[in-house]
Amino acid sequence: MIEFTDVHFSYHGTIRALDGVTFTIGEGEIVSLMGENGAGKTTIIRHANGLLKPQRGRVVVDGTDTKNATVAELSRKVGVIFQSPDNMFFLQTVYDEVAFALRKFGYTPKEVEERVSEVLRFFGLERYRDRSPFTLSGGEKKRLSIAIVAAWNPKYLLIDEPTVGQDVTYRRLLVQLLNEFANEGKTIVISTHDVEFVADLRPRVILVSRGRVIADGSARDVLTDEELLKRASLVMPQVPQLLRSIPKSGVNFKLLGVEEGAREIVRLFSRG
Amino acid sequence: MSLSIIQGLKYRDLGTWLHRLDPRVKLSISIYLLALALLYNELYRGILVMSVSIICFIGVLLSTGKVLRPFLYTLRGGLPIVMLVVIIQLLSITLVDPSHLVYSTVAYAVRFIAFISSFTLFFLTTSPDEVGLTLQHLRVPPLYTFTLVMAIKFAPLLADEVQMIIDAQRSRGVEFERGNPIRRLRSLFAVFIPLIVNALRRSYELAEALEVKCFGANEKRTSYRTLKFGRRDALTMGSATVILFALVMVRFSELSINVL
Amino acid sequence: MRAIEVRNLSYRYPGQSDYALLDLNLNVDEGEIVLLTGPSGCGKSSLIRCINGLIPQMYGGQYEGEVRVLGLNPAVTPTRVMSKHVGTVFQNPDNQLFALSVEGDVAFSLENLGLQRDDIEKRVREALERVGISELRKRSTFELSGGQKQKVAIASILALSPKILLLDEPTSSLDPLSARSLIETLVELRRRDELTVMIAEHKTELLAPIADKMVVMDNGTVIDEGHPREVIERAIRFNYAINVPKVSQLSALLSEYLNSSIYLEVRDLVDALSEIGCSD
Ligand SMILES: Nc1ncnc2c1ncn2[C@@H]1O[C@H](COP(=O)(O)OP(=O)(O)OP(=O)(O)O)[C@@H](O)[C@H]1O
Ligand SMILES: Nc1ncnc2c1ncn2[C@@H]1O[C@H](COP(=O)(O)OP(=O)(O)OP(=O)(O)O)[C@@H](O)[C@H]1O
Ligand SMILES: [Mg+2]
Ligand SMILES: [Mg+2]
Repeated sequence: MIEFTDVHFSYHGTIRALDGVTFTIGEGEIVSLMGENGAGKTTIIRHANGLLKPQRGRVVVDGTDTKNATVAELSRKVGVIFQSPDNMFFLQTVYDEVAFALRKFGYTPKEVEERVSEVLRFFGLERYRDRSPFTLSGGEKKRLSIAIVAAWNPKYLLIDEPTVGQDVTYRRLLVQLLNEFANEGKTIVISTHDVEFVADLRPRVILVSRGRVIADGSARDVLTDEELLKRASLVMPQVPQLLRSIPKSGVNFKLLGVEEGAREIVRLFSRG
Repeated sequence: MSLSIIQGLKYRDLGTWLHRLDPRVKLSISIYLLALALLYNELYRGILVMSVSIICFIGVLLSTGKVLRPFLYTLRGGLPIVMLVVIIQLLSITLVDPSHLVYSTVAYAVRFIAFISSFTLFFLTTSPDEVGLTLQHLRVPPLYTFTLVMAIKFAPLLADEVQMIIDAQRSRGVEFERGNPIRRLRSLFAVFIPLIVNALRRSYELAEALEVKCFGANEKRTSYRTLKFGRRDALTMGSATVILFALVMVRFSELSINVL
Repeated sequence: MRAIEVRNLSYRYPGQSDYALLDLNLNVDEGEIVLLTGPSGCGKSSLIRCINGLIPQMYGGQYEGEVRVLGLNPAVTPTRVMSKHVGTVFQNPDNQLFALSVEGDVAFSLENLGLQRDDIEKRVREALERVGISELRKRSTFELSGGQKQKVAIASILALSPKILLLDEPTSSLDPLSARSLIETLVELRRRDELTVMIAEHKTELLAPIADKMVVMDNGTVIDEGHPREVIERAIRFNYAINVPKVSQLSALLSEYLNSSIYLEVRDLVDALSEIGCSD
């Protein structure tokens, strides 16, 4: 369980980033943090593994206050993927990047070898094994950064902007992967602006604006509430946006998927 | 460890009166202070009093500019060098005049601190661009000016890079915060090689950025910011100069022997 | 007139055996907005680097074929000279910012062009307003959120008023409202100044409706190009590995009602549905 209680944080004591953030995320949940640029999403994520410590309030992960643990201790359980993948790399090859934490966490050389191969294959990066991570394309870098953390199987996975630079194949894979993780009882927190991705993933959505939580609910409810979306500089996903604009009474527009949207429209036709 | 030491040394425009003061005035005051620390050099002629006053003066000034903390970090960073000065002093003085050992050691150490403090006033409250402009006004050749400005700008970039590598490593289980000093030192060493590699890469990326930002595309580069010497600057400069003169007079008059 | 002409371009990064670009051909007319899309790693960023000349000038590697940009050859024209006319926004804004303050960063390229101070002041103000970050003007570029950094990078290049704008996933970290307003700015600049825009993006739903041309790449070469509506139609039919706007996916599912037309915008699909009786 991740618990934020009235968390306040300012950078250098001057730039206010979090202004009393409170929420609780339980096991097996998938949560998406959404909100305008500069809302505080990244700052929240950096609090979860103790990279930042609240200046007021508390962050508690599995009963441990992050103030009483080091980042290294927390990271075994709490995997954080940074917004800019370049900031995660510090080794010479893709292979070493993935292997690094596994070695730290006591995997045997054979286990390391197997796990790295497996993860690189899953993320479609095996042919870059011996390349420098900095020579990958933008999307490949992002994928590598997720692979690095997924490799050691942390119980909590926090991904800042997972879809940046990703094509359709990988976005589908990601939806599938995150759901599998959640089914295994892992907790997933992502931060994203990508409303169409959220419409596919259908997580619980925590809307952040100017350092505060302004809404917390299902993707279906939050992403179809025009007023709320506007406050967080978001737009409605295309399917509900379309259904809402159909000039006919009795349209259920709280639908996010393409198929269910199409069925609703067919229903409208058959109603005459 | 959050590397707050490095964070503290980054220039940040806090918009206080000290930040807005014309950099030439700040540079002059810094030079004045250095000159004073140099002039009051003889034992029993106020070396200790003067050095302590300079440090306190800088401290008070900087606190009005909200940059006291970075100043203290700088001092802490300078501590090893001060220790070196103390040791050299101890050795040399013992040979010359063993009777005033403690006093003179302290006095020279403090004077040294006054030395290194004198320019923090300028650098902590002046943006690299202003540093460049100041040098330009002093007719330093543009190539040197630009190189210096880039060097000053690159420092916080490197600091950022160190912080990122440390964050990336501790997010993958490397312990920097606890454990015995030797292990922590080992962790820190692990940062060096990636730092050098990344700094190289970073400079390469900067070169790309310079290209797409047309650096060197025109013979003549203009400057968006200019230095304006206002009334407040004149006033500050005036009073500083008067005080400097007074203190120089004191130093060279017989007065000093009696007063200090 | 042709703004960009690429002939039989092939390129390998130094020390790589795979081609990042392979026998690529492309024409872009002046005043066109071109959407460049394709799976991750297909060569979009590499193509952009060939157009502004960073490839081969900064990267080296093995380069064949010919590129013409506004009549110049970027492989030999110094990039800093090309950049007077061709503005580039990199995929990762971190790599592009280096002046310490936001306004300093935006002013930097203008200073390099030797513009007068009043002119610089005006352009900086306008550019910051356009991307909506006037209040960040005095902030340090290190102390911004991901999206804010991306906005500064965009403002810096807009301030240059280039003739051609190369944008590498410029909306990847922008919130949707900011992304929309960037697109509106591009459309306006194209109308006002005949700006040519080439924009690499995965978010086709954002760009396809306003682009004049959509180019799909795969494995370092162009596999399809044309009007966005036609390309999207083929993307659905032949299952290209690119994002297809949800509206278009919906139109495909409803093809028996819609006479097989594919729509790119919510508004258009709503109109089409009302026309065929889906209204009160
Ligand atoms: N390193 C930093 N130093 C100082 N201020 C910062 C720093 N990082 C972020 N900020 C500021 O803190 C606030 C919150 O930033 P944060 O990065 O959490 O936003 P975000 O919601 O992740 O935005 P984005 O969607 O653009 O990534 C912003 O006002 C930002 O300018
Ligand atoms: N500096 C480099 N050195 C070696 N190979 C590189 C370098 N940069 C990119 N590549 C490789 O060239 C190919 C094309 O990369 P490019 O960055 O152009 O892709 P992209 O289409 O922009 O992808 P994305 O959408 O993920 O950003 C990829 O296979 C990539 O791994
Ligand atoms: Mg962020
Ligand atoms: Mg790219």
